[in-house]
Amino acid sequence: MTRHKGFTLLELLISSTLFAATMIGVIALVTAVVSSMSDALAVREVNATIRNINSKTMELVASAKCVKVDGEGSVLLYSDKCDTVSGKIVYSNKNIIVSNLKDETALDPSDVEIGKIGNNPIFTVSDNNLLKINIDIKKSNGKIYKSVQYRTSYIAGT
Amino acid sequence: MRNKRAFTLIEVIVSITTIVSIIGVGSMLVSSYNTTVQSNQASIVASGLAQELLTESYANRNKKPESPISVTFDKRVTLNNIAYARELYIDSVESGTQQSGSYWQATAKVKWSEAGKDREVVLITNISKLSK
Repeated sequence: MTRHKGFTLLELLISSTLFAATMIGVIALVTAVVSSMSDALAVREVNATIRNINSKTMELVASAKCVKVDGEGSVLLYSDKCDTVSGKIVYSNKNIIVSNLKDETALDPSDVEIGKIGNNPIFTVSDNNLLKINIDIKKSNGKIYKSVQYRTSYIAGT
Repeated sequence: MRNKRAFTLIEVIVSITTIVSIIGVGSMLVSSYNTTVQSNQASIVASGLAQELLTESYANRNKKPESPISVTFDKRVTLNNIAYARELYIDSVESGTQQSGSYWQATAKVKWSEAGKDREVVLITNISKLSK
């Protein structure tokens, strides 16, 4: 006679608890990995946008001789003593667009959104040569959401 | 009577330990990767704040070419819930050659604390002195 040994109630309770705990751990780990990877990709895109803004804006402003604010969210660049316009930097549709009057480049090629930090203006200019930017760069990737506040300044005619 | 062999206590303990170890190491790797990414971001933001100080030094030199560079700035800036402390040092440096004369050396330091560790970004630039 073959006797099949069944599980006792205690064995079932222990094994199901262990199984549930292991599954919860594995699911939590997988979720954390996916969330971290998405978060890291979002941060990488935000960082790329910051670098892009830095290099393009610095290049354009440095080649200008004068900078003036032209209404909220717009800056005019001049090739001489604030007479001849040579370029423009505009905040439009959650993006910054730089233009040297020949080419127009959106500084955020991805789906990252650029916005204000609180009520601070995006652009401020002092002494017609010092341009300051104050931006909040946001990346939403489904439920993952990354927001980075960034500020720096650029000088004309260096 | 034939007995079916079940797992021994040792086998169960070893397998649970293995699973827990794998999960633990995986979690640590993920956490460490995330920390590195966040840390890089803090450095980029700090570089922007340091660059701001150097740019303001240039602006001050242009505004008052005959005076030593003197910049008024926010020593503490909070962005992304991180408190950044800023310092700016301006030194007059003799170049050693008659052609170039002397110039200003501006050193911008931005410090912040991250997970109990002090971090710092230092940017240095040379600013030529404008002739009077």
